[in-house]
Amino acid sequence: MGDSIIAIDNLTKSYGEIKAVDGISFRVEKGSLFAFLGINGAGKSTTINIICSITDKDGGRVVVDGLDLEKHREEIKRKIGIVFQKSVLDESLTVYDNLVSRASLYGIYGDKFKEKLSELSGMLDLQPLLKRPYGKLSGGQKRRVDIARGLINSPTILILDEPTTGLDPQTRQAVWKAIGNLREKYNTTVFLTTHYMEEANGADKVVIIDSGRIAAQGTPNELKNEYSGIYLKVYGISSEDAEKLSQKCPDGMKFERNCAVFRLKSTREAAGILSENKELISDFEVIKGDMDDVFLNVTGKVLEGSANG
Amino acid sequence: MAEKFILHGNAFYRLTVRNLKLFLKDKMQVFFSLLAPLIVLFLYVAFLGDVQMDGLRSAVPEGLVDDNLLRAVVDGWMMSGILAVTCITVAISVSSVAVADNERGISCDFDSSPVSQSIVRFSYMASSYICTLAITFIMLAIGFIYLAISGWYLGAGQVFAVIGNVFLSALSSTLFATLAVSFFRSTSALGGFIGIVSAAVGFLMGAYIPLSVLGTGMEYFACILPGTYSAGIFRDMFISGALNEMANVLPQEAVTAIANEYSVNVNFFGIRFQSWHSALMLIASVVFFVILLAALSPVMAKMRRERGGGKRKRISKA
Repeated sequence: MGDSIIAIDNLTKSYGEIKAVDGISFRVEKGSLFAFLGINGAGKSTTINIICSITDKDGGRVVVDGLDLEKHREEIKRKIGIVFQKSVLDESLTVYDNLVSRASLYGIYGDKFKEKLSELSGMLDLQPLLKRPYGKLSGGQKRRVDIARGLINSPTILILDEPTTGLDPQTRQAVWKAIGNLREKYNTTVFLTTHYMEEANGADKVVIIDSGRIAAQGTPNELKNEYSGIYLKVYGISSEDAEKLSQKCPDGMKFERNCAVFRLKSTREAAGILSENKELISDFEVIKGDMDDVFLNVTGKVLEGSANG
Repeated sequence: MAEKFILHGNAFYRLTVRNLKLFLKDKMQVFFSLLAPLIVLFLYVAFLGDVQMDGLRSAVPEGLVDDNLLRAVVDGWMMSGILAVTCITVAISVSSVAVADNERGISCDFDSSPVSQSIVRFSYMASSYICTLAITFIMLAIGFIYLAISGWYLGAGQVFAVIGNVFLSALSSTLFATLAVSFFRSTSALGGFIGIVSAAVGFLMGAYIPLSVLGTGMEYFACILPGTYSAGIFRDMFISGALNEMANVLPQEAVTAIANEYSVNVNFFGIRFQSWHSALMLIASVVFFVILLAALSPVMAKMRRERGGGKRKRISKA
């Protein structure tokens, strides 16, 4: 098991006839940024809900920081902070009132709460927001408060269920800066589900889940090497010349607006084709497939909000 | 052990305060919780008071009974209706915070925290009880001031009995409300239920029209509702003083007829209940609701965890 902080083996959960999670197994390393990818209904939130004891599992084993979920539910809950996909704070209450009531759920009150609040205020710039009703805040401000709620119990694992969905790029960056600071300062393990491939790209490990089963897992680089190709884009090429070239590229060719795109296995293959077909190619680009490409190749589906979507 | 008690005590206190603030900040919710008692008051001021007064005047020989005494009977009946109805409608409205938490997924936030789920449930009940008590006592204080001006016929014992009845009725209503709202998963469905309860409860407790006017069948049907006993005790305490005064000038049969018309003593399938009988019925309702809640809560919590938290799961076959 090594340094795994979360170990999941053969986890299953069904809702009626639908198998939301169908025998998945994976590990999350301590202090890592772990990304869980999948379309809506793939089983991501169900898995998170099981880890957080919100939903009961049907079968399998979940071990968090060496503790079995079956026997140590309460201790595990103390180790986890969660930022839900949809906000779960009270709209009509102030940020302060929200945080004070949620802190009490972990036995944090009095001086201990004040200390924690001042720390989180510094980290997430909450001071100007504390007296304002949560419902009156902007999307980005709300997300910062949600993260503060997730961190109120100083968790060793922070679970973020699509934390930046619907946020503008600037706010998304601010949220990631805060998460980066947190990891640097406390070595917190971050368990992330996201629709944004550039966020998954920065993860230490990615698990792709599809219809309740794990479709692929590895580091972003491993996944790209295994499931994505190299793309040679040739500009200003005639359709006859493109056809000729495609016979040397058996992995496929498609036309885009102003270029022909050839799928290749490796950069070495691209170099060979370029040197052997100088008369056909005048303007070109060689691009390594991204995580969108990996996801598409693994699941045959396009993630909402992805470059391909 | 002591540390755990303090931890849970603090969570309970903070959650109760949270629930109270959520309810009180929602002005529309507060208004609608008071709608039924306000309707009783409006109807009374508009015409019901005069209709009842005319009825009473024609039932007693002219000039024999002081108009203030007759007014005290009608006022006492109105006050009893308002207090009994308030206990029910406020308790249900405050309990709707639990349904809203379920609907918005906030209960998932509570489920994911180490606090015991019974603390969360008790906090909903506590906030409902506190709010019901506070609003009913405000109503009672206004009522006492009104009666002090228009004609006071209550003894000290009756005042204490009224206060005690507020505590008991609010407790029974809170437990009933907690049980009732646990079957709702959306605030819109609960809103419909509150609307129906608000409309029906005024009739069933004899707040709009004395129960005897609606017939014996209705009087017997009302016996299955704890609120009937709550209203019965209030009526007994508010009206008996004035009826005793009347007994000085009217034959006992006439006084009893008036008492029965206003259901001063609950007609329990032909037996006229004394207030202590009604109090026992209210206590029995409290015990009944506690047993039901204790039996159902773990089952409902398990069902919620099995279906994936408070929210309805949206699973699409990918």
